[in-house]
Amino acid sequence: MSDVIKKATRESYGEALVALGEKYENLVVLDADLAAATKTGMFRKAFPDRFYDCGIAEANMMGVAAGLAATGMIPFASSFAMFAAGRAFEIVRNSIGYPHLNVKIGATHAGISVGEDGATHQCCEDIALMRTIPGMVILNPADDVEAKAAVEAAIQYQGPVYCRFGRLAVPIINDPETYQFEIGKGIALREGTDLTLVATGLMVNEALQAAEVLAAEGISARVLNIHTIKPLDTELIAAAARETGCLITCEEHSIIGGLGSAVAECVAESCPVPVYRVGVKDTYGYSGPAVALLKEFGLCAENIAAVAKDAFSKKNR
Amino acid sequence: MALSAKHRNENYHVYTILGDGELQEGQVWEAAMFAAHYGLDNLTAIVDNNGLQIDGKITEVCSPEPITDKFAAFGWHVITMNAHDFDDIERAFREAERITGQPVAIIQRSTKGKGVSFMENQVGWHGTAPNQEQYEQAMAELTAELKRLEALV
Repeated sequence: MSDVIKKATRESYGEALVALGEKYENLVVLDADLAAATKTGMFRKAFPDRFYDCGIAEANMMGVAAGLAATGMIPFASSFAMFAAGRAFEIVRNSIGYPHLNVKIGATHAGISVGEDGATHQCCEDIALMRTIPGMVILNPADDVEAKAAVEAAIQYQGPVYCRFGRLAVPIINDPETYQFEIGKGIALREGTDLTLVATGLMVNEALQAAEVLAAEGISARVLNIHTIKPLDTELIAAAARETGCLITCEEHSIIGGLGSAVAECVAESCPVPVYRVGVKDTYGYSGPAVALLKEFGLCAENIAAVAKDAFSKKNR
Repeated sequence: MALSAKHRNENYHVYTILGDGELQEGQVWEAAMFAAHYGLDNLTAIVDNNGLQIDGKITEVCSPEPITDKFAAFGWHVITMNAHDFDDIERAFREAERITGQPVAIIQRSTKGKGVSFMENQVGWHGTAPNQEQYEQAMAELTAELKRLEALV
């Protein structure tokens, strides 16, 4: 495992903003006193006159972003997911979502892998909140390559986009030479016939590892990378439900309102099959080392494999 | 939008209207701090200070007073104005146009329902529409006042 290169997607976010700053002249970046942590500080250094710190005032930051977008700029408003989606929700809904303004929200430190900062900063509700806003696109990249592609796709898309990034360094699983990103199009990373692991964000890599474990035990698991939670790739998911008869969703988010809910809603209407949700089970996180927390909350390959084995035995009963 | 004008070297001016009750909202002061920090002298906020909000008098619900001192403390140039006096309105906006380096707050003292006997200063008319009979009475009072004023010219 020592040759696996790891990088936090917040790092990728900062690098992508700098790389795309030259290409997109109307790209501006806002932050709320977290530029060092969200990595927008890289953009501030490269393009100081296109960066505005709003101070610890996320509601106003979203209002400023709305005003900039209404006048033709492409603002990235950045903060931790907890504050970008949570604290500023009403402004995001009414001032950005309702007029369908071209604001990009760069939300870092999502999920419990925030680690030591603890429950108040471990946002496992942001996808649920953003999903309910009509017209909001939600991107949750799995690694460095996908995160960078997601940032450019968000810029090219006309309308509000919520981009979710993590604090923890995660393995780079995609090949930058061949990787292609399309909003709303999931990626089948592994074919399988017995069940499907539907994963998003850092859980994609865990799902791939779980599929290896399952293969060793004779269970053929398909793995889907759902980098776009909304609009959901309902065709890919319905086909997986039809062809494998059982889905296990894997996300670093509450099992309420996130990928698990979206997938369950999709298959309930298209091809009802059992859906098991691996995620944060309606509880708060707590302070601790990120990797230990992920294991503790079952957000790891071992637990995905265990849930999948159980699901497979129930399927064949 | 005012920041965007500065950013893109556009010369338009942004006017925004606030209620006095609305000043209880934290976002207003986040924006006030931001506008002063970035020296947005192309921004004028007009605060309609009629003293009434849905639940009653602003001073009894949760007072935002002293409003003028608060905006001044946040780094704004503050102008007070009588919202029912056209000469005073003109004076206030002329003054606002001349201010550079900081945003301007025009605190307009007004009377809710001015000129309609049964509406004046009545909190119940904050968010309700008149029925046909009330509408006709209100229009009759306003029309009579307009005729009186026109006779003076």
